[in-house]
Amino acid sequence: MLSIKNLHAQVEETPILQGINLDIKPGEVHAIMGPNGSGKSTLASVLAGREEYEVTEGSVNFLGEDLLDLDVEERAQNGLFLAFQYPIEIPGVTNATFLRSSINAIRTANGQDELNGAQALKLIREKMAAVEMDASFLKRSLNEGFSGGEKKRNEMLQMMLLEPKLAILDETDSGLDIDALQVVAKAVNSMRNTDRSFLVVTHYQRLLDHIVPDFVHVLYNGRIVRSGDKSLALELEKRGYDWIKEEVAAQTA
Amino acid sequence: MDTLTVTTAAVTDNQRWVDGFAERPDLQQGPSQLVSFRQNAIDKLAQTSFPTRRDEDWRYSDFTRALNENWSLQKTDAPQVVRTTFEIPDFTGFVLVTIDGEFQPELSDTIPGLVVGNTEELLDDATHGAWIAERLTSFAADDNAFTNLNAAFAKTSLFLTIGKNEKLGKPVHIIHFATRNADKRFVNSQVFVRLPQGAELTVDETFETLGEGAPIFRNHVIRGSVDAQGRLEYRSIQNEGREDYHVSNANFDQAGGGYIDHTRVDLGGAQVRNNLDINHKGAGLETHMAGLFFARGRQRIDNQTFLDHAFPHGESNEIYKGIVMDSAVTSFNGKVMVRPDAQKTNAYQQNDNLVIGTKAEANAKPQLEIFADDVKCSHGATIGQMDEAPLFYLMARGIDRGTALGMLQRGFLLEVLDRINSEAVRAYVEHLLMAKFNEA
Repeated sequence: MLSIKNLHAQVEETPILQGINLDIKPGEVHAIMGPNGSGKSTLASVLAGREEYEVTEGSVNFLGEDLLDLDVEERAQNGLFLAFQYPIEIPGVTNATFLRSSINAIRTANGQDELNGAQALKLIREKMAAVEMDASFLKRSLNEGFSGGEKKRNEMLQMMLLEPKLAILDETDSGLDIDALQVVAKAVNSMRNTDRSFLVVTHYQRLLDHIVPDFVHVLYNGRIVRSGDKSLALELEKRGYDWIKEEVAAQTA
Repeated sequence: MDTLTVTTAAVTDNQRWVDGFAERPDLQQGPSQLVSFRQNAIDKLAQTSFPTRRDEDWRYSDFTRALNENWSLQKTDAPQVVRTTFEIPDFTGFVLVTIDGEFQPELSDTIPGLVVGNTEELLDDATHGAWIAERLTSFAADDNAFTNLNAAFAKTSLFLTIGKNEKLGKPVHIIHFATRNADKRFVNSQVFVRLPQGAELTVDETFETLGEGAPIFRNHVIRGSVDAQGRLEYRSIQNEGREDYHVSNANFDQAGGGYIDHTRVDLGGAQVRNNLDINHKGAGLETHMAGLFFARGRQRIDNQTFLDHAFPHGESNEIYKGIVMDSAVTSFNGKVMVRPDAQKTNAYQQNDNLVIGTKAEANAKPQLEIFADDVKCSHGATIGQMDEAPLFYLMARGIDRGTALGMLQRGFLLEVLDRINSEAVRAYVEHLLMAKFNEA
């Protein structure tokens, strides 16, 4: 599915990712944890194609293609989805128009017929119920004036509509109350299957109580410094990140 | 065919326009009153300079170079018009047609309940003659060379009115054609709209060209009046060719208790300048002014509005929104005067500009002059760049950059689009906008 090899990336000359290696196979759920500033969100952004990040070394293969060679929209059309940590508010573009444009952009790119207004609306309403969003959100401008929880539900709605092959959740749990957290978890769990993979980026173990990962990786100073199963997340929850930092310091000393 | 040959004349030398007038014997014909109005206007023009960059009100609209081109003022034969090609799709109203400024009754719908005629025939009309004469007279007094020129060359202009307390129930679409030929043609056109007490009318006007050929310079004038409790909606939609020039001068008198909603859309033209003046003539009235413009390539679009609050309890609401990209230049200058007697005025003005790229230029100049102390006036002007963040967000959902840009640009202009109270006209404007977004 996704194979990251020795990935280095920088922002304005400041190196952030310093040699990431990660393989995700179909059906797997990987969690990336790490202290603030470790490069978690950068990794998510680089994979989605955000322009501010310059890849200086390494490669990323996504479903047999060089991901770094693809435009942002092509990555999405090929089945990569990024749930944003901070979804953007876009006045003047209604949620309904946006969702339909997005569904049809991805369908067209994959050789499927576009959905007409009624078909799209039916599908959207069905998925909205699953993420407990009121239909009134369709007429509102995209994310404008939405609460933090509403924005994240809207991200999950998009994920369910676009049915990606790989979904990257960038700190989707930040700032969520327990109800919203459960909606997010329910959305992800309902979509888990043998063909679809998830990369869950999070600072806290809390989300992983609800979305149980197959693998947990700890990112620190732009590298994956430790990998394990879900018990690693529990250990981090108990002991914090300091012991990881100390271990890394001891190794590099 | 005679064409006007211009050498390196300075712009203050208006002799060539005077000569062009002399070469049009048809302008010496018609009612003697009208002939003298034209003569007064050309005499005034002979002494009036066209504005240049040195005039504060025309800082961003110097037509010197355009005016110095070789413009023909001669009449020409229009090709046959297939009107339906130019109608607004799904428009359920009446259509009126002008060609090169002259009203064309045979190409226009007969509209029961509406008085439609041309200024020459109606100058003697017992009810409307004086109203028309008053306006024609004013053109020669105007210190604006464009209106002087317009008045000197205007013929059989369109006049619309409706009975007291009457409403048509359907909108009127005026299609103004200009005929192209091998010469660069200067076309003057006029519309007069008179709403008596309690009358209601909605007018949409569009500007089109017929045939193939050299650029057109359109010099358009609108004069309107709305009496007490009258309601006028007037929309001007300009999408002329990228080599064409357009100057518009609209002036409305609004009586106490009257209502005016004016929307101006500018997508076409090499260089465009709109003057919109609304004069309050009584207390307790409501004025809406909206503008939408989108300039790209090397287009220049300049809007100047003047709202004169002279009486108490006036409400005005003005919103102009524009996008400028490539090497285009736009400007907005919104003057709002609140005179000492205009207490309890409630005036709102907003101008938002979206600049795309590093070479485009937007100029915004709100200009409120408030001489009354018990008023609520607010204004805002913004000039911003297209953010990458929303673009990235849309593209991360599979939407290509061009479509995403179009969605964001439309979103930026939505507030003005939403104010168009006609589904058909709104859809038409959106269609024109989308076509322009998609231009390479």
